[in-house]
Amino acid sequence: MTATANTAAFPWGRVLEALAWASLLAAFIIGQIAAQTDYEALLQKQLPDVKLTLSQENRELPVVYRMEVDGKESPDAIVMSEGVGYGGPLVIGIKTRRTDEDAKVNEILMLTHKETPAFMARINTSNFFRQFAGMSVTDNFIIGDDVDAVSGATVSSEGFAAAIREAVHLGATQHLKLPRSWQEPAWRIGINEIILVTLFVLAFLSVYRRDRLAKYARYLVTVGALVFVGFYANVSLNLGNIAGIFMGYIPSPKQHPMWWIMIFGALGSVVIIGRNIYCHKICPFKVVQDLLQKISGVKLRIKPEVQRKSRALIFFLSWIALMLIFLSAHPALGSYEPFAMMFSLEGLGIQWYILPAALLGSLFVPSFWCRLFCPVGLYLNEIVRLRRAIRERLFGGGAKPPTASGKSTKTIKVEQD
Amino acid sequence: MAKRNDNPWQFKVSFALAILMLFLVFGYFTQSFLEIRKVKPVSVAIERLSEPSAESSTDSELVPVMEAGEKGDANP
Repeated sequence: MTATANTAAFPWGRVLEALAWASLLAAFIIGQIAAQTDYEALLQKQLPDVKLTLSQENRELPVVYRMEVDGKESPDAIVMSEGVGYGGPLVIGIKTRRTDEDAKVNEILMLTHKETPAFMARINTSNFFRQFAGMSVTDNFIIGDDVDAVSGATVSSEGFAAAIREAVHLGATQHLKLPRSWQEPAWRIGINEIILVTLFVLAFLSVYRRDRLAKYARYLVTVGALVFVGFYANVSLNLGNIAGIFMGYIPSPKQHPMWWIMIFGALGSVVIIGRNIYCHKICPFKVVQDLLQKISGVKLRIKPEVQRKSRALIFFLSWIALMLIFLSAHPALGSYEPFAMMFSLEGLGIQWYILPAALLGSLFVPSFWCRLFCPVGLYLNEIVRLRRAIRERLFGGGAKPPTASGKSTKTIKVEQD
Repeated sequence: MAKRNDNPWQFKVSFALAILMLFLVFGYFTQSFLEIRKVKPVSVAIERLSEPSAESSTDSELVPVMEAGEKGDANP
């Protein structure tokens, strides 16, 4: 994204940077316009032999379609709904049938989604959607209550369940005029959320203290990052998460508090205290790289010139990735990081070769992925850099200036070997 | 000590690893690009901007066909 044409008087670097930003904005706008949802077309694709009529009751949400099959009006109606899954927005149709007392769910039509294929395969093979058949529109539709999540695709399951719940409950009150007899989902603050908050607190402690407590905290955080953040919860940050925020793909705090804790922990540490706690303490892939280093004992150096240019390289890679993400409005399509493959063993095509290559590099070069390829690390470090610059401007000198690679000399000591 | 630190084979090996990784990342981008070609977002967006009332069609699974005034603009 930033060129290094220092010899020319013409500011090529700034021009390239402006073009990069403009192209990203254009891709974002194009992607958003192209991705607008047309319910009827989506339904018609799945139900080609059915004539759909927008219900006359559609002065109120949700959108409902009546169905005609072979010229006869079907007793079923389709309630439309949108939600947010792990990969982005999703659209479903809920086929319902009116009964004497209320209405029952007949079938869930998965119309469009942006989940990674591996997650969707898990959901489909587990018959997740079948469990909704026969449920009353006045049921709770809450994961862990009357609906089971799919193991390994919990966030997607939550997204689908929330979309179904909101639509059928809205339909029950607005269209069927039924009284509210269902429970609202509670905040899902459990042991997982407590562990993640604890890990961040311990990570802060290990940075700020120099005593024995800090030493133990460091060990605990290392194990917690690898086992819990990586293999158990698989909530490591990637470029898709960041791009998703710009596209409004933000899960509700009630539905996915872990996502919020992770974002607040990572961004909060760089914005509030100016330390990139996430990359150095919480990121499980960093722990994997460090472990590989310890195993091999080999520490190959990177040519200083290559290291200096790594910042521009990562910006360039993330520009391509963001263009792909924005154009397709699909965050999973641009995230080139190997985290998901490492910790959930899910991946497609060439992604499977990226992981062993990253591990091989880390075996010989300390923090190989972080130093040369990781966009999240670069962005967080850029925020640290920006914060320092603002602070210096407001309060004068005192803070150490960031290095040429955009990394703080204090926080990224492993990267300055 | 200085001689050891400037050992060029270290630089060569780490550079080769970086280049290998770079090829794979570009391979991934190509794979993603082939995937989003099915979506045709640019043509769909231009159609929608230029003639919002006309019917358009696409073979995409992610980008649906638009019809006049029938957009699902109500987002429950």
